[in-house]
Amino acid sequence: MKRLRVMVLLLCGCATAPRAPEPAKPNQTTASEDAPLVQSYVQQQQSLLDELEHPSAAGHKPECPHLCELVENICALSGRICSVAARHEGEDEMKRACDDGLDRCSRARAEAAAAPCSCGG
Amino acid sequence: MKLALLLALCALATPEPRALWLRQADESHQAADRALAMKQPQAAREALLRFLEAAPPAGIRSDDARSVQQDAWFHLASVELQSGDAKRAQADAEKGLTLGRETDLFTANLLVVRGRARELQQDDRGAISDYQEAMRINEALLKAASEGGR
Repeated sequence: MKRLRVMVLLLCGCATAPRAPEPAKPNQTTASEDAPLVQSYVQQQQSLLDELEHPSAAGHKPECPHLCELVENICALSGRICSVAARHEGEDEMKRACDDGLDRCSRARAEAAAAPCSCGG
Repeated sequence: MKLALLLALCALATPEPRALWLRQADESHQAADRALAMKQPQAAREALLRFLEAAPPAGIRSDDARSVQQDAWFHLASVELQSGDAKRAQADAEKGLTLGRETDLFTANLLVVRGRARELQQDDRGAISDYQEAMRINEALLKAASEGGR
C-alpha cells in the first residue's frame, strides 16, 4: 500500500514536498547481501511519507531522518564499492574508487552534521 | 482512514484511465510480492511484466509515468536477482534506465540493482561505475535536502 500512496501523491499533485527525493519502494525480498542498502531505502521512503502526511510546522527545518537515510545510502554504496575493490588487490583504479567512496561517505556525514543532524555511525 | 480519503479525493481529481493504471501498478507489485512469498518467481515476473506491457494512459505526466514504470522495472530486476538470473536482472534494470535518468531514487535504485547484477557476472568495473553513479544521485539529494534546511 505504501507504493500506491507514493504514486497517488505523485500523480495527483496532492503533496507539496520537493519532487526529486521521492523514493521508490524496493523489493524487500532482494538477496540478503543487499539487505542493508535496500532496508535503507525502505526506511527513507517511510520518512518521506511521514513528511508528506505530517509536514513540519517550521517548513524549512532540515529533515534529519531523510538526510540521515541519504547519508546511509552513500556510505552503504561506499562499502559496496570497497568490497568489490577488495577483490582486486593491487589495482590502483579500484583502490582509488574505494578511497573516493570513503571520502564521499565522510563528507556526507559532515554535511548532515552541519545541518545539524546527528546520524550516528 | 486518511489514506482512504486521499484516494477518494484523488479519484475525483484524476481521470479514470490514470487511476486505473495506478491501481494496476499497485496490484502488480502486490501480486509479485505474494508470489515471491510463495516462492513462485515466475508468477511474480509475469505480474510485473503484464503491467509493464501496458502503455501509460494519455494525459499522465511523462516524468510521473517514468517513475511508476521504473519502480516496476526495479521490482522485476530484483525478482530476477533473487532467482539467481543476473543477466535478466541487468537487462530489466537497463530497460528501466532507458526510460530516463533523473536525480531521484527511482534511477538510483535501478543503478544499484544493475550494479549488483554486474557484480554477479564478474563485471566489477561496471558494478563500481553504477554504484558511483547511484552515490552521486544520493549526494545531490543530500545537498538539496540540507540546503533546503538552511
